[in-house]
Amino acid sequence: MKWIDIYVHEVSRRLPENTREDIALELKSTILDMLPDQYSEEDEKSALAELGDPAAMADEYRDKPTYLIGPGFYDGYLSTLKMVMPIVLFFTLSIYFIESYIQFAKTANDWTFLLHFFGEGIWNVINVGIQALFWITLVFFIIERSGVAPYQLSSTGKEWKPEDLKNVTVIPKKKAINKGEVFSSLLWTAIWGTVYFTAIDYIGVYRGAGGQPGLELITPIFNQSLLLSCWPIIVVFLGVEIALTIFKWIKGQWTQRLAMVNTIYHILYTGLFLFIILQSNLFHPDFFNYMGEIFNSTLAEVESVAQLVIGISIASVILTSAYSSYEGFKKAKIKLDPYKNSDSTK
Amino acid sequence: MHDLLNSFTTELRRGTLTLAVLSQLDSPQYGYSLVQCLEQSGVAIEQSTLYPLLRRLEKQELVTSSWDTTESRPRKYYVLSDKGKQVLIELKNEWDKMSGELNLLLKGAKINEMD
Repeated sequence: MKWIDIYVHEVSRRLPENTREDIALELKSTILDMLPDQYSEEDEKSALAELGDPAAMADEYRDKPTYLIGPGFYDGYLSTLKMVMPIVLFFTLSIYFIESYIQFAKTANDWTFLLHFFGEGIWNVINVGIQALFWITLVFFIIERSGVAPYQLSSTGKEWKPEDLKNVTVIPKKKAINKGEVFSSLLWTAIWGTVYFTAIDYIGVYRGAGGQPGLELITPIFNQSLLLSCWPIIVVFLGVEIALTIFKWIKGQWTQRLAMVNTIYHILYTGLFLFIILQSNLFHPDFFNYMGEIFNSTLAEVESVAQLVIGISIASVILTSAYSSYEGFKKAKIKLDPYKNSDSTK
Repeated sequence: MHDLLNSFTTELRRGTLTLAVLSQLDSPQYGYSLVQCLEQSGVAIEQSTLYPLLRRLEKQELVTSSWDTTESRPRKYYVLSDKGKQVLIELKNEWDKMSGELNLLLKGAKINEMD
């Protein structure tokens, strides 16, 4: 008897309160039905073995979904996560970056702040990522259990019809602009914009600060006042770059017009780059002197090396710009339907 | 191979389970008597599946239940409701149709095999 009662308890404690008593009674009477009138402990055990794991039995009784997100919503759930996560993380990082910069300026430019900055940055990303995951999961969990059909979440909100195909834009893989590309170019714009306006004088030559924590700046590489004097052009340029990226994102694929805009952008970019890099006082005067000192060479020699570096930079910027413009046109030409393509060549 | 076969068989059996149980509930039965009844006809059913299934059928109003307390220990009896009878008839027809079709298919497959 003892075994039976424990078994019944093991099942019923896993069940909702209002069904517990009834199921317990029924289960007990069923088990007693299985046994002969005079039964031993062995009989009890073999009867219970036949019924199997009480947890599995309770599962069958509960008759409720034993999953968080069911197959009907799983796809939507995943694509929502993929869409929301990068945006959320991007904004978190941007805000954190700006906040930290303001704080950094207040600490009188103490570079040990950087370590703290990275640590807290990683923590921020994890924290926000988990939050976003939790809330999205919770929303889908509630939607699924409130009896919404998966198709109601689709863009039409109705069951699928063949006419829906009209609204689908099919983008061949080679023609597509992927989200990673868009994201990294936004990130790149944010980084170079920030560095340009706030930290250009921190790009330089450093050495250990003689027993004190942090590093000591010997000389910046660039002439900050020259670079900052170009700020209106740079601001316009940042705007254009962001606009182009967003335009690409919305389009999602290369078109003739986008390829054209992209080419204009690259011409402007190359022009701006040439304009800045060809300024005679681009570099900080101390930088040349210092380089001359450590490499034990004359100022003329340092300058000729600098000329070489500038030459290589110009060549590589022109080449990458030309290549990127060309790629844009090439991808814009890709046709969706391979048969159509062969027809047109007839 | 064996596992795969097992899972197919289980799936097949699970589909017919409701029909098998409903077919035995013309007259009132309690849980264990139903198990024995099914076993005698060669239908093996896990008890941990059967009892919850009976409750589900009750919730779907295909069977009704009542406690019989006149015997030495109380037993819960299940019997088909009117709705259950209706569903049983339709399910039976469906089954006849389906097994007929499938037999035809399987015979055809055998002939092809012998060619």
